[in-house]
Formats: sequence, C-alpha cells, structure tokens
Amino acid sequence: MNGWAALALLFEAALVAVAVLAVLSVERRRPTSSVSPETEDEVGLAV
Amino acid sequence: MAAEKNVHMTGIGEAARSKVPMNRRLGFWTNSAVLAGFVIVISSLLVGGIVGANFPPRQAVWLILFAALSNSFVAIFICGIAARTGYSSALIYRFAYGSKGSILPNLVMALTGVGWFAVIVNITRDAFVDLVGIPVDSIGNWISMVVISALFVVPAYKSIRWIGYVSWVAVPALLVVLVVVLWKTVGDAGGVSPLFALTKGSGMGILTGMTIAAGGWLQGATVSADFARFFKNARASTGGVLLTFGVLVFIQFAGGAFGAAVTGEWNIFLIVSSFGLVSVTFIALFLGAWSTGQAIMYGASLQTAAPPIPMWKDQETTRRAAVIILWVAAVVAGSLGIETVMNWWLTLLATVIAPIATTVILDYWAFPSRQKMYESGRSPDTLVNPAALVTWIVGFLVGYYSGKQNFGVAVINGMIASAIVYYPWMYLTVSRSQRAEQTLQGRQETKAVVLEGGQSE
Repeated sequence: MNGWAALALLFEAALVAVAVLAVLSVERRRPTSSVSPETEDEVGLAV
Repeated sequence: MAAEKNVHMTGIGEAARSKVPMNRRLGFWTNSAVLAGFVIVISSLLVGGIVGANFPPRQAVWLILFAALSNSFVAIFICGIAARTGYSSALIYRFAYGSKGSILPNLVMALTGVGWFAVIVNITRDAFVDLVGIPVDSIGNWISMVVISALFVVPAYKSIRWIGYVSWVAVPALLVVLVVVLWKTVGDAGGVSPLFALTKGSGMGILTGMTIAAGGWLQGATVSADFARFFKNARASTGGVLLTFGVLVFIQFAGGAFGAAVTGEWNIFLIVSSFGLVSVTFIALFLGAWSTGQAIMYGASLQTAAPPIPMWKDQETTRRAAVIILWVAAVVAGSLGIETVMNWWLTLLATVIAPIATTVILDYWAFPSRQKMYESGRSPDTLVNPAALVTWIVGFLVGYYSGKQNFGVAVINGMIASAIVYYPWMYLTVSRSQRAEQTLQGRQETKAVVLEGGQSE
C-alpha cells in the first residue's frame, strides 16, 4: 500500500468513529421519540 | 416474516411523500434484516469481483476495507437522519437542496439506480441464456432481458413487504453461494497463504481501485434512508449500519474479490461457472440479483415520486407510476448494453454521488437549527439552495478531474471539496438567519427576513 492509500484508510476509520459519536451524542440530547410523529394521523404530507 | 407485515403501511402506502410514524417502526433485528436484504446482494460480489480481477488479494483486502469504512461512514449519518425524521432519502434531500432544487439529487440517484438495475438484469440475462442455450444475437436474448427485468420490478411495484419476502429467501441462498465461492477459492489456490501470495493484477492504480471499491456501493449508502427510516431511533440505525454496511459488505466484497483473483473473472456468474457450479448456484444468484434489483427500483421510485414531482391521485399511485416509467428506462439502458462500460460507470457514480452525500450529511448534522427544521415536518426554507447546487458542481469536478490525474482518492477529494464549499456558506447563512441565496447578496437581507417572521419560501 502506498502512502496516499494508507492515509485514506486511516482517514476513513477516523470518520466512522466520528460518525458514531456524533449520532449517539445527538440521540442522547434529543431522542428520536421526541422529534418523530407517533401515528399516521400526525405525519402530514410533504409538498 | 410476521413482523415484515408491519412495514406495509395501509393508507399512506409506502410513505413516498410523508414521514414513517413511530407506530409503524420496526424492532432492531427485524429492520437490520431488511437492511441486510438490501446489502447482501449481488452487486457487492460484482464490485468485489472487479477489485479482485484488478488487484492481488493482499492489496484487495485493504481496498475492500476502505470501501466498507467509507460506505459505513455515509450510511451511519444518512440512516441516522432517516431514523430520526422518518423521511425517505428523496424527502431528506429537499431540505438541503430546496423544495424545487431536490429534483437534481433525486434524478441523479434515480438514474444511477436505474443504471445499476440494468447492469444487474443484463448479467443475470447473460447467465440465463447461456444456461438454457438461447443464441446471444437472437430476439430471445432481448425478450429474456425484458421478462427478467419485469419480474425483478414486481416487488418494488407492490410494497416493501414483498421486497422482504424475496430477501428472506435470497439472503440465506446468497450467503451459501458466498461460502461456496470462498471455499472453492481457498481450495483452488491451495490454502489461505498461497491465495494471499498471488500477485497478478491488471496494473490499475490503487487509488483508482479505492474509488471503484468505495463508489460501487456509495449509491446504496446514500439511498439507505429508504430502508433505515423504519428503525426506532438513530442509535438502532447506527448499530444496523455497522452490522450490514460494515461487516456484511466487507465479507461480500472479499468473496467477490478472492473469487476473481483465482478465476480472473469479475462477474460472479462467470466466477461460479469457472468453478463448474453455475447450474447448481444459478437459482441462488438469480434470487440475489432479484433482491438487489427490487430494492434499487423501490428506492428509485421513492425518489421520482417525491415532491416537486406532482402527485397523481395519491402517494402510492404516484410511486407505482414511477416504478413503471423507471422500468422502461432500465429496459432502454439494458438494450444499449450498459454493463460494457462498468468500470467507467462505477468511477462516475462515485464522483457524482459523493457531493450529494456530503451536502445532506453536513446540512443535518452540522447545523442544529436546520436539524429542527427537518424534524418539525415543515416545508424546506428555500425553493432552490444555490449553496447545495454549487457544492455539487465543485465536488463533482474536483472528484472527476483529480481521479483522471490520479491525485489522491477521487471520492474523498470530491467529499472534501464539497465540505469546503458547503459548510462555510451554510455557516454564514445560519448565523445570519438567512436563506442560502440571500447570503450571496450580503448581510443587509437579514433584517428583511426577520421582519417577515422567517416566512418560508
């Protein structure tokens, strides 16, 4: 593997770690259940 | 299977133009199985096959690890948005690109999906006509393609419940093929060590290989919202993505790559044929191709039935009309022989889609105030977001030309360039409480927007 490829692999691994932490952090502060509609009557129609 | 039935949504159909409510969400394992049905597919073996046909196994392992990481990164964020909002990918794009501007990512994703579908149908057709002895230059060859594509489209036309039925059969069958290919590969190579000692390759640059490996599934990662919107929360969707896009995609890529390294063929049908197994495994591979094709067309139908495309009768009728139109487009692409430009197609896919993924991810996860707009169920705050459109053009050009110059990894270059354009532009927009087009005109517009009470559009 050349230097660019090794760097790209490390970069991607770091990005995945950041993604997991970011999603968990937002989910802890504002859970999905508090921001998503409960029933079909509440969903509305995107226009 | 019983839990699968809960996915079908009476009344609002497949929720092509609305959120999936919490009472229609699925448990972790059930939704992970649906996502597995989407990722345990023939296209992973094909992409792995291309990598394996061009690189020796020792290099291919790193390439497919890179691809699995890259796609997991995109899918974690995209699926997180879908789980939290209940929106399909097409409805998510509206917020970043604007209620009219979303036509761009939706068309790009739908057309790339149709291209993938046509490739999968054609290689399945090639294996079928070879098996039953239909001459390649006969009308029977073309009719086989039309019939197979029609069959593949039926579950996408019906509902995600039907997609689940095919996947529940196809996934175990394809896993068996994967095990057989790995077993035969290691056996033919004379063991694991001799397999990794193979040195043949095509001379393709490793950076191009990274772009092909990562780009091959980037389309899937970017539309994964269509399946992840049934998770109960973003924590569950993250776990599901790590299991599927991380672990399962890596194993599949490895199966295709090692099979190709030993046989010299990239097409999984030809790989099993080289092992003398095609008649035994044809049904499993056919089911695998079906499970991929139906999911791709389902996603593409959601993208082409979402606003600003006008609704015809109701949500579900609009979506089903879209399925039929997309099927006709796929038959045309298949008739033109799209699979003959597979390498070019995968490289182009990566550079076209990478800016879309970056824009959507940043728009939701980097700006808490915009997160609330997505979650509120209100309409997007702009008709066309120039920041997103400029980002797409810059990201595509940087990815495409850096790939041509063999500078770095094209897909990463495209994502970094997109982030450099989109984040500062939207940071200014959000900090001034403006819309993106007003940021171009300067600070004085802020007052007008505030006086309008932040009125949308």
